[in-house]
Amino acid sequence: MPQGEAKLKARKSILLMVLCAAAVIPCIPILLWSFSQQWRYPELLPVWSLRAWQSIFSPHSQVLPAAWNSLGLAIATSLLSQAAAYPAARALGLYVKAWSKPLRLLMIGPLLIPGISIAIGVHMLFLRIGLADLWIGVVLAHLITAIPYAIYLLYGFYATYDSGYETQLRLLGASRWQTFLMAELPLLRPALSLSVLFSFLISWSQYLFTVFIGGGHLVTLPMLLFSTVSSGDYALTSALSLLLVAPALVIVILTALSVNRDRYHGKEAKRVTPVI
Amino acid sequence: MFYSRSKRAQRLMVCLMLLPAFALVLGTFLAGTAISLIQSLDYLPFIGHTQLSLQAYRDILGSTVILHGLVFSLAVALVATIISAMIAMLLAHLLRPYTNQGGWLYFLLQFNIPIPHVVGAVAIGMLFSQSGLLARLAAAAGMIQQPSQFPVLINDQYGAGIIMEYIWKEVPFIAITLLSILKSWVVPYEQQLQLLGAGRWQRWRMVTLPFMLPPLISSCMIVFAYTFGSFEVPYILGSVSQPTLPLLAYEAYLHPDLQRRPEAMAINMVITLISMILIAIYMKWGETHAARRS
Repeated sequence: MPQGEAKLKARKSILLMVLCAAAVIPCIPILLWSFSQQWRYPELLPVWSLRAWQSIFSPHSQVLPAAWNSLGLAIATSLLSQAAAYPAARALGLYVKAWSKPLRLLMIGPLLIPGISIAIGVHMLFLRIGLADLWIGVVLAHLITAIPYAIYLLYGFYATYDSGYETQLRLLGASRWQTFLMAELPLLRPALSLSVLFSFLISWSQYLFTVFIGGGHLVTLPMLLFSTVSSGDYALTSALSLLLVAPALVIVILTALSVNRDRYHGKEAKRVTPVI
Repeated sequence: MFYSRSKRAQRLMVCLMLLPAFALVLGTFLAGTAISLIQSLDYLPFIGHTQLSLQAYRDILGSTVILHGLVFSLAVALVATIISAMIAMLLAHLLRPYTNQGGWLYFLLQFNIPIPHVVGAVAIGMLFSQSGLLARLAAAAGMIQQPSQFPVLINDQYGAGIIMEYIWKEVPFIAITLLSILKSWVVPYEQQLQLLGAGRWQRWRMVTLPFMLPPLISSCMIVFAYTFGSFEVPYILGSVSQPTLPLLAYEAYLHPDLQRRPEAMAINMVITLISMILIAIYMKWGETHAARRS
């Protein structure tokens, strides 16, 4: 049916335009503001300037140390959450039978309970056991949401994983480590990279936990962004927003690429969709 | 992994695999919640309160500010969830024919999922405020002369800005969940019905909708729980005179007067309790959905 096909094609280009508009339009004011000196009301374009970016990258700026703090926290959170989530997800998917469901339900709690409630509770706990105001305390706090998320993503993989490949390799005399490298890891890789990226992102954009547990000593990018928003400096707010969003955009592009190389092609429903 | 070990050793190993994650997450989470609960009952030895009482709960239930905050938070979350779900359903149906070749469509659909809510809130603010981009466009088109003629959508009394940010962020999430169902599980059933002579509407009502409902409800629960408890978005886009419950909890907790601590903790417990009810509903539907799939 060439006519039906033409209709489908036309509809596709309309959909592309709508989605493109929804994704791009909200980013336009941020982009323009970040390069503005001033932008008086009815003007459609600002008076251009690099002031915001220069102040971010100036040697005296608070932003770069904050960005390094955020990066350090996010990398530590991402790696530690994989280290804790990988064995737990594997055990829940392959070895735990009757208890798997209740245990997973327990794990969902910290994901769905509002950050403010968890942050207050954890802050009081850490004050009591002496972890508040410490870097390691902030990492632990970030792990509370990063680990359940990583388990959620990795469990989705193990729920449909056939451990027969591993048995086969072991029967042929491979060691546990060889089995991991040759059978498990290649299959796990798409889910694992998603989990690494998203736990990085959870920590990178975390505000409440860092403020409460860090007690203001550890300044991160989201904290700077929050204080700039209240100060009303639109140019600086926009530049900081773009800096905060940069790794997210890299991640979208990487995920989009990895979908194309998906080993489960054609079985899309079994892939886990990221939640935020 | 467990070829030659005794039952007992196997069980021990499984426990060891689960231990780090569960100890870290549930240990801290439950201990923190327990402290909140105790303090909400006015047990604060460091300021000499050791008598348990429900006074804080009575106080917050009698406070119009807090009750308004609760109702406002629930209403914003409900409206945002319902609108997001409707747009997502429409979008999923429209995108469905292109799931096999929709590289760019998929990319654009997923585009804003990893963008932090803080940035989303800033973006929506700069777009819809009275001196935002849309107001400037309206002025350029001659529709308004003064910024005050543009409708108040940001920091407004009805939470319009907050709701728009949530919709912008959550529609792709729900749509992707629905698409994954529409893509594969439903197809053979629909074909079967088509062979049996069912019309388009009948197919939708008898197969597509029942299949779509569990994932729709479970993802809506996630969205509702998130939007109900979110702190960042109402902080940036909300009105000072119309605070949401999480904002009230934040203010009460940071209040220097420790006499107000039980109140902060009681608000905190109310938020936790409502989220737990939502989780229970999510579990019921989410798990039925999983059971049906396997």
